[in-house]
This record gives sequence, C-alpha cells and structure tokens, in this order.
Amino acid sequence: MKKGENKVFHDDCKCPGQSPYPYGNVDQLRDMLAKAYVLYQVYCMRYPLDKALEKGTLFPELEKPWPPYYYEETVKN
Amino acid sequence: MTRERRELLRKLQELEFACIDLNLYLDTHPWDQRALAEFNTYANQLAMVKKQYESMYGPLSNFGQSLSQYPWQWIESPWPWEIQD
Repeated sequence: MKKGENKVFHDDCKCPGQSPYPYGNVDQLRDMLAKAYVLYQVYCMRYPLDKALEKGTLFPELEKPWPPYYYEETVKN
Repeated sequence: MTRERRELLRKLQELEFACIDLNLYLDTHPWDQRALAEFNTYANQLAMVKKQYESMYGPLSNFGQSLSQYPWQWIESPWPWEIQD
C-alpha cells in the first residue's frame, strides 16, 4: 500500500469509511498531530526543608512561578 | 501557642511535606536509591517528631490515629485559625 492509501476504518464494522478528518487517511492524519516530549526528571539537588515548604516543591527544577517574574521590578518596568 | 510548640509544629510540617514530595517522585522513579534513602530518613524523623509533639502537646490526629492522655485532649489543641505567629 502506498503512502496516502492507508484508509480510516470504522470501529464497529471494519469497512473502509468516510474519515471524520478533512484529509481522509491515516498517514496524513499522523502528519497533523503534535507529539509532546517531557524530559525525565533526574534527582540531583533539593531545597532545604524549610525552603521547600515555602516554595511548594522539594525540587528546584519544578519551581515554576506563574505569572513568571511578575513580581520582579526590573521586568515590570 | 509557645515558640517551642510552634517551631516543633513547623518542623513537623517541613518533614511531612518532604515525605509527600519524595513519595510522588518515587512513584515515577522507584529505582532511585538516593531518593529512597532520603525518604526513609525523613519518614523516620517525621515519626520521631510526631511522637515528641504528641507526648508534649496532645494528639495530632483523631479517630484512633493518635492516643490521648486524660482528660480527652483533642478538643484542647488550638484550631489552625487560632494559631498566631
């Protein structure tokens, strides 16, 4: 089967059917989708326990304040 | 609430939080020996601090999770909103 001829099948009857997507075949559908990649966390350092409780995480790499740097005067001005 | 009691409660909260965060980390990294060793260290410290706190100031949990001296101590502890810095 050539690229572009891989038809979408209905789940229930297994017959080649009308695709609900505008391009109508699986290969093109794959081209449309994004892939998420999340880095695997590696434990290398941690906050002291008192600071971790204040920050809401033990791991510095997971501290993501939102909005970022909102309270930084240099960014606000 | 005395300063000593507040500091012990704070230590307890810090240890409890560290255990929660390391627990979550270990759920996805069960082979990390360092994290596991630290989790066990903090869990032991947490148990000791809990025991110390409860012996001095009464139960931290109710419904059978902690013992109480006489008279019934649960209602004696300040509620979270009654704790002042």
